[in-house]
Amino acid sequence: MSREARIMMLHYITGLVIIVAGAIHLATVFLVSPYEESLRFDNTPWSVINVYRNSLLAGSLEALLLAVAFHGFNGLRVILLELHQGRTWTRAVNVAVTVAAIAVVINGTKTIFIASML
Amino acid sequence: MSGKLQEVRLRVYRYDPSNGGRPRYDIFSVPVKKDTTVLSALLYVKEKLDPTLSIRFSCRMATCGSCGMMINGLPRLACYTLVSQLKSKTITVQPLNNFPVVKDLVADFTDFFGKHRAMKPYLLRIDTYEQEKSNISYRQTDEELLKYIQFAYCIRCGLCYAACPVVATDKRFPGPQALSQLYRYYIDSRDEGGGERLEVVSDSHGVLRCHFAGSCSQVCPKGVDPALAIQLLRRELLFGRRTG
Ligand code: SF4
Ligand code: FES
Repeated sequence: MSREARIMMLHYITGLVIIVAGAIHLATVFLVSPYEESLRFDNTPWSVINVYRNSLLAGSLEALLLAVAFHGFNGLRVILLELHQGRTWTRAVNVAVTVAAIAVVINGTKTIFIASML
Repeated sequence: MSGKLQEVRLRVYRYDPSNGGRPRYDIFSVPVKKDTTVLSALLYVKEKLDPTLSIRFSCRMATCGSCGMMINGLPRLACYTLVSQLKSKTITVQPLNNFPVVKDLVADFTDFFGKHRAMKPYLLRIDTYEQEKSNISYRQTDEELLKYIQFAYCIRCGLCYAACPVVATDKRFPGPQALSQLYRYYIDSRDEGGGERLEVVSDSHGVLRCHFAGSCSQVCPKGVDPALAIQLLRRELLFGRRTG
């Protein structure tokens, strides 16, 4: 499989992950947890902090973050490469989206990690 | 021509890049009957009203693929489009989208044919000596033939290329015609190109860039379904097995 084919395969897989992990996230917020409680930061079972402390929910948020970062930035790469062609442009776009995706993942992971430690 | 004569307005795109002029539209009144084609109407203009009008055509029967143009905004064959079917008193004709203009309605097919050639549109065999021996023939079952025959009906008219939104923005994208021809040979049981064929379209401007707009298959005058070929090719590239 070519490099581009591997990237696009991952693009489709992360698309599916977004649907599944996104559904879990929305279901916990809107269906399982009492809405009032989900907005609180205290020690009630479904408060924001307790959601992060639950390793299954925190894990699904991390999966959602990784999938969104890859899928979103790869989508942006595809659009940018279609709008303009050239070796320098391709290289610049590849570097820029990789750096941006890594920055988003680091920042998001930091938030999930810190919140789960509170 | 048969039936009652009626007048239509032909709004014709005029442009000659060689004299640095700006594109303009000329309007001609043309008498038409029920069975007048857009090509016949344009030839009337050329014969009777303005001999400087440039058009490309040959067979006049939807076989050579040379008379493609934008007719009322859609890529169509002028010889295969009846004025009466357009149901419009004014008909606008322009050169095909996504092609440079040679003059007036004549589009430059250099890139288009270059992309077609890059797909190696012929049987690839490991043993070329055997292939060139005239007493050899490759047998094929009906099922094997059915896998590619619809794609072999392509007349290289370029209508699908003109309709493709990816070709409009990505000049390196091979386009629906070239990709469907690649699939046509890839899936042919007599062909041994295999992975070498897929490699040509596996980069970041290749077959994976298709948006699946499907406009290529909508406009094809020969019933070829390039969008299907592209999706099957994409499946081959991602899952790496011969299917169909
Ligand atoms: S696939 Fe159809 S529209 Fe495209 S070049 Fe071939 S005949 Fe023309
Ligand atoms: S003149 Fe040959 S296809 Fe129209």
